Amino acid sequence: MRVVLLGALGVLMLGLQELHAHFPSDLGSRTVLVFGFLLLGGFLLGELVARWSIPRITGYLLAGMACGPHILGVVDREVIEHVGLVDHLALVLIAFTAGAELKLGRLKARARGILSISLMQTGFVFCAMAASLWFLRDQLSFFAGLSSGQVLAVAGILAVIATASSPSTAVAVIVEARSEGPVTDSVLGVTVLKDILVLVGFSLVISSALPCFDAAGRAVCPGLGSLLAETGLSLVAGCAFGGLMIAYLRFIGKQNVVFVVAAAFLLISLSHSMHLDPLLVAVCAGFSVANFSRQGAVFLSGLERACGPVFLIFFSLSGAGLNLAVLGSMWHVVGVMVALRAVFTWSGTWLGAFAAAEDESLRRFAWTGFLGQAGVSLGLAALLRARLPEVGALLADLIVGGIVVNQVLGPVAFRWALGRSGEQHLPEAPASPLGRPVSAHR
Amino acid sequence: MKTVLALLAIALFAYLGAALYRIQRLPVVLRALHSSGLGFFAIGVALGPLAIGLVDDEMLRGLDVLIDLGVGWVGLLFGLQFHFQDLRRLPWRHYLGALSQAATTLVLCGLGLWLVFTAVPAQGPVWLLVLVLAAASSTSSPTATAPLLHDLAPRGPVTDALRLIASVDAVPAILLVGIGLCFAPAPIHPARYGPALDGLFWLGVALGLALALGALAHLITLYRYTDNQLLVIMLGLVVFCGGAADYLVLSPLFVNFLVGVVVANRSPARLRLLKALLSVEKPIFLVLVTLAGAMWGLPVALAWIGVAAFVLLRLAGKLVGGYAASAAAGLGAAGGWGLGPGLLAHGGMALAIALSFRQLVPGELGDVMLGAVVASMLATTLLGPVSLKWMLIRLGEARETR
Repeated sequence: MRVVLLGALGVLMLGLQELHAHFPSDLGSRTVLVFGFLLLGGFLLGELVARWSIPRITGYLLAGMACGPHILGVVDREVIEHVGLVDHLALVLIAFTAGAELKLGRLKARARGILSISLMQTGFVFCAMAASLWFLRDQLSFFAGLSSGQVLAVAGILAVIATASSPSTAVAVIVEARSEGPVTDSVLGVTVLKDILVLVGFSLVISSALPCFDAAGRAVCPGLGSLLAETGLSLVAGCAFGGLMIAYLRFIGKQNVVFVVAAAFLLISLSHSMHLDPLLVAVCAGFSVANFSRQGAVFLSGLERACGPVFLIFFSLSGAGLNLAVLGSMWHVVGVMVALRAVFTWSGTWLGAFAAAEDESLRRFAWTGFLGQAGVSLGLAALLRARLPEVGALLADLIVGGIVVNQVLGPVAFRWALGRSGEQHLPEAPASPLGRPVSAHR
Repeated sequence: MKTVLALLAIALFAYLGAALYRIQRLPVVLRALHSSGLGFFAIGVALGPLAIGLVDDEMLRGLDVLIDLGVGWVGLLFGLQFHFQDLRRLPWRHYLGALSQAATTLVLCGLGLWLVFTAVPAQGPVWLLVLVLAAASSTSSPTATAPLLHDLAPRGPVTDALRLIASVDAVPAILLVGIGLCFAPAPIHPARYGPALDGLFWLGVALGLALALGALAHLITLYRYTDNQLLVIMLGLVVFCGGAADYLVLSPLFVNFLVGVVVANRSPARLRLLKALLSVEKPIFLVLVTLAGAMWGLPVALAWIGVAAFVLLRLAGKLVGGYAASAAAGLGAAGGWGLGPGLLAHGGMALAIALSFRQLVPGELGDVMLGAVVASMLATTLLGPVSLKWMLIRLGEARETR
């Protein structure tokens, strides 16, 4: 039935485009139409895949990919850029949720494990990936014609980006599965901490690599000092912003949904004008509200209510923005990279959990939470494209190809792992046609 | 600096809003002003290009989606309340009263505005501005008078008639704007088969779109969903429907209203959908009002004549229309003044009509439209509760002491 509905929606969209043929082009109305189409189509596909225990966000991503410029062409680059602000708003709301889901008490209890997994996994993935690429350099075509120093630099860049994970993907799966437990807490803590580690690592690697290619590039790459300052300031600003949010919720406490949206909007504006990392600011703000005030529950419940549409918007737009053409042209190299990354992520996580004497479920399942890749990795790929002409473009394409695969497989694997580890609590039974039994959960 | 100023502005408004809310016996006019959302319009103006400029034109273009969402939301919510089986139980004379009141106001206001705007030079489709303004003038706001009705707890035939008329008198406006836009000639709609046939063609497209989306919503909601999932469906439906209407230069309010009517009369999940829509009505409305404030540009000095004329003509139109309504509803002259004093309040529906017009005709005419509706909302939010109270006490349906 849902397949028929999806088809009907598609036919309706085609009909609208046909009727619009004689009108002058209007980006604004086209954007709204496409946005609505993505929302409905993403929802239907999300519900369709949820029947097979696949996370809804994978459905949203697939819907976005299908509608994107490389398959159906309903969503083009212009439209994606036009709704950039809404996309950013959604991302900040997800970051608020990530921060609010981090409970200080549980983090304290898991601090050793989180730190150990973060450091061990990041270090292991980086070293093992760089070494593998070095040894495979004769088999990988994109290394052809590069000097040894350049090969090392490229391997380092790809390795550091391989260490990045997507907190937003992990949060989306956790919220949907309503999971609670050591795997959930550790994955949340590690993905947020790793975001900082990856940015610092990328800055170090790229500043070492740039001289191998183009000395002029050095001037435009952010230095480690400024990056650390930005990170520190973002943390402080996030705490301060959280303080303001607590004050509002404590002393005014009206129109909380409007307030959270307005706060997200202000946070984006503030971060841009002060050159801060909006995600880090939002995570810190959410963390402060959830852990240092009595309003945490109200805040989180409001966010959870907004999560459905926010995830749908963010992940379907992310899917539409992914460059599938790259995947088609470089699938074999991308396949090797994705496989290597998965193996090293598993090994690094296992080592980290083992070193911190974490329990068996964490050693076996937590790695799946780090497979998904999105915002940071895409940002770093774009930075590479801009900073390293020629080689940078090729590397960026390769990274984006890997992100496409990881972003589809990551949530599926993580959802499976949450189920196997017994941390998944699904109060929302899958929808079914009226009149039929819904599921064993009802 | 802009951000700090914006934060201060928002904090000030939030504090004032909350402080007002906490005063137990706040005068009903202030409570009506508070619930009208006009404070959020002021926040929008403060943040927008007219004042601090934190929200610039480029950002506003990126937030088109939210404006269409808000306008469509108003239309769908209104349409969902038209469950014919329920509506049939109410006295038909009251519907006649609503229709005659809306038609009288619309005609009087339209004629007056046509005279004013042909005298005031303006660029763009003035006929469309007059049509949409006249339509907006005929709507009333049950929300603006709700606090007073809650306090007075009036009982009687006039109160019953007022409640129904204020709730349904936006239908002629929505239909007029929707059908009027279908018949809009080139360059709004491309010329194909001649003016009349083109109009019928686009009306057919609007009705077909509404039926198709209504059927789609009905089929989707045959599945059992949680309240949050229903909310996502409604969100997608409203944006898609509004976007489709905008895309074909039809009225998003009209198409969403029709979708709402189809869903209300076909979907077994009607009440749950209504509940899901109502659960986020206030936040969406307030975001819409804030964006309206941010996008508003100050009309040129001469255009303010049109704004003032709109406010005055609407008041006059409502008083005359109210007289016609009381006669049509079988209430005689209702104490000599008719039902007019109880129908002065202007609210969200008029704002949605103004915003959808501004989406279609940006620039000066759009700003005049928005300015006129907000000025009328402000004036009648202050005047509406007072006149309603006076009327109900005079007719003996409420007591002064309560």
